[in-house]
Amino acid sequence: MSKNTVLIIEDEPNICNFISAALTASDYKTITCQTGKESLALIPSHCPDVVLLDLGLPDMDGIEVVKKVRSWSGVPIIVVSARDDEKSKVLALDAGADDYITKPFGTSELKARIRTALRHSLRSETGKALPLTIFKNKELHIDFNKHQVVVRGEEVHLTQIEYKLVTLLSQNAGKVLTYDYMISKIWGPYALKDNQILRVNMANIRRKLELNPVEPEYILTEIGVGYRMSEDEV
Amino acid sequence: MKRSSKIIALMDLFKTTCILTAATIIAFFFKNATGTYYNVSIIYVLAVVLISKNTTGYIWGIISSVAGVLGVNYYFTLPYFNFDFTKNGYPITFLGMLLISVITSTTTVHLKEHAIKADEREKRNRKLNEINNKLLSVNGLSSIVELALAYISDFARASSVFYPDSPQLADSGTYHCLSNTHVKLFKSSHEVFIAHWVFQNNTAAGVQTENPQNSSCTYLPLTSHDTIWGVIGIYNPEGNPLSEEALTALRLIISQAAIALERQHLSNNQQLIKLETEKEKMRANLLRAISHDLRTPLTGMIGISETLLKNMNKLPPEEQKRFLQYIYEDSNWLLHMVENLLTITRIKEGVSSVNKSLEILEEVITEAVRRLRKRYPKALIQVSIPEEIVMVPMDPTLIGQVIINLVENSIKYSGTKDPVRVIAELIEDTICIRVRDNGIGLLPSNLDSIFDGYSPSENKSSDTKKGFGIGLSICKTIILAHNGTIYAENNEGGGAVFIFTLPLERNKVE
Repeated sequence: MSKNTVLIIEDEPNICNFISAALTASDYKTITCQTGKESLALIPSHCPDVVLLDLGLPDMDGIEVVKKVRSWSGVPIIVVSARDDEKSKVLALDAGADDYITKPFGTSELKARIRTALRHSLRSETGKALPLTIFKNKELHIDFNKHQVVVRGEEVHLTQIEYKLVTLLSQNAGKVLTYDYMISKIWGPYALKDNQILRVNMANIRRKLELNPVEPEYILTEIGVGYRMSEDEV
Repeated sequence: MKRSSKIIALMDLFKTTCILTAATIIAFFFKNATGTYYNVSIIYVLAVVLISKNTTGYIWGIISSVAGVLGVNYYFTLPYFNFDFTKNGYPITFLGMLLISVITSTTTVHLKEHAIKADEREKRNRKLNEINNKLLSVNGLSSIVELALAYISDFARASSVFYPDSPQLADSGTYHCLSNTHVKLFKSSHEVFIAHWVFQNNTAAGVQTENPQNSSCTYLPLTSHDTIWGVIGIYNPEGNPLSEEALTALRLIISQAAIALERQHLSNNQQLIKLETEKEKMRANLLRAISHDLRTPLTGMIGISETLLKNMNKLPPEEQKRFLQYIYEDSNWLLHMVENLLTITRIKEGVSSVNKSLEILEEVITEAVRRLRKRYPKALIQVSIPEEIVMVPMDPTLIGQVIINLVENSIKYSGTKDPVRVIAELIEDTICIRVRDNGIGLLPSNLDSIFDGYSPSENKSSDTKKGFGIGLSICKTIILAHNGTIYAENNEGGGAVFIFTLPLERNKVE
């Protein structure tokens, strides 16, 4: 079986090396480069399956790279950012990146993100981008046809908006969705960017779905960025 | 005005007639009773005095003097009921009477005017005193300015403006105007130029000063100790020049305002200096704690990696793995320290300014707990949040750091494996978060100083790499920057509890 290829765009040699080593040990093929310009040439020529992009590149703004790549390719892009830099993360995600990981990170976290990205791209490639009819994650079952949400065996009553939000998240399970993305999907592109309504709705959903809202299993909060629905690691 | 002066005139006429008639009647009685008429003149003089005292102006007094003289001549001197001024000595009597009447009436009128003036002066002085006291007791630059402008406008019945700096440099004037056109006048380039001139030359300019400069307003500088604290401009819409008294009063108010402004500036400066020194102290403390707390894990890492490098072959694999584990743990500890420091840099210049956004409290707590679990997978942490969804203005990274630091503290120092409880409560307009453990508790003597960044020398050795060090003092800085409070207590049932509060600018969301 051919291995998945990961393109690592990172200018710090130590970090580049350790990521490459960890991924190679997990049966990925890796290509590395140090600058944004190089990456823009490597992506079309090598067609990697996943791109790992550090936002702190010396020659180009990482967001620029995302935008340029997105103009002709849907390859999954995971951006690597510093902890304090919420703005860059959100900008990257809104520009088309699929996920983010914060420095410093452990290799297991990285590998999990890569797996998720691959899974999603596979789904869209094989045309399974059609809306799912059923979503199942541990004890959460959603039937999109019947508009029914069942958690731990019991049906949960959600408001119209809450249902729409849960649906949006579950159809993108594993992916982080930014506040703005969710607002424009649910309330339309002209909605105010004030995210309080969204936050409150999400908090209500958490209270309805989670056994312990402070230790959520399904609706994960990415502070400063958005939300993510966890998924069964199949 | 015309109507009331007609009424006053009528009243005066009435009074004059009454008193003259009364005088005549009394004189008649007198003459019939005593047979003499010497005192008749005196009765009339008395009448004239009374009339002058009780009427307005000189005129009624003079009319009654003449009437009195005529009356005495007509009714009381031979030949009776006839005007005859030629009898011996009568002319002098009558002249005398006239003179007395005139002098008396003019004197009483003067007295009245003086009394009125003195009254006005006393009122004005009392007002100035009140202004004085108010200006001295008021706090805050804008209050002083508002007060001064209000008084000036009141006194001079004019529109006024206060410029703290030249209006040519900045648009910072405070206006107290009777109409918008006056504001426009003040803002016109000519007037702005004159105001600027006053700033440059520290001299009054405009109407009724030595430098009229074609201005329609008057500009007076507020100076105290040779420093110019501002300029007040006055525009008198009625155009009448202010009386000397009003000008003096104005100058008094202005000099008082200048003193009040100076005093306020001095007090503000003092505050700033105090804040600066506090910040410096905090920074020095922090740096000290940082260098201690960073060096310790680094020492460990350098030592262990050096040992590994030199002795790789001699060490059994389990030993090697153990050393690597130490390095891994120490580096994570270092990372934690660095994150703490990063949070400090997020607090900008002033100790009390922080980037707040409305965050859902439980999300911040969730994130903090998630990170704690990554670092301490075996630790037991229990969280309880309020029923309602609470949105709190805060910097989520900073407050998250506070919760992490406090819970970590309890995990490491409580000396017990019992769960650490994080309890969030909504109490009126404040959010109260308690981190409580079931361990050995804190020394009462440490309760206050624990947040100041000193490691305790009692329980553990001060060289412990995981000493209290920076963690708690960072918590205090962050909470204070949010206008909250933070303190520590011992639980009644044993163990310690750390409590911090955050003010809500809004209550809960429905």
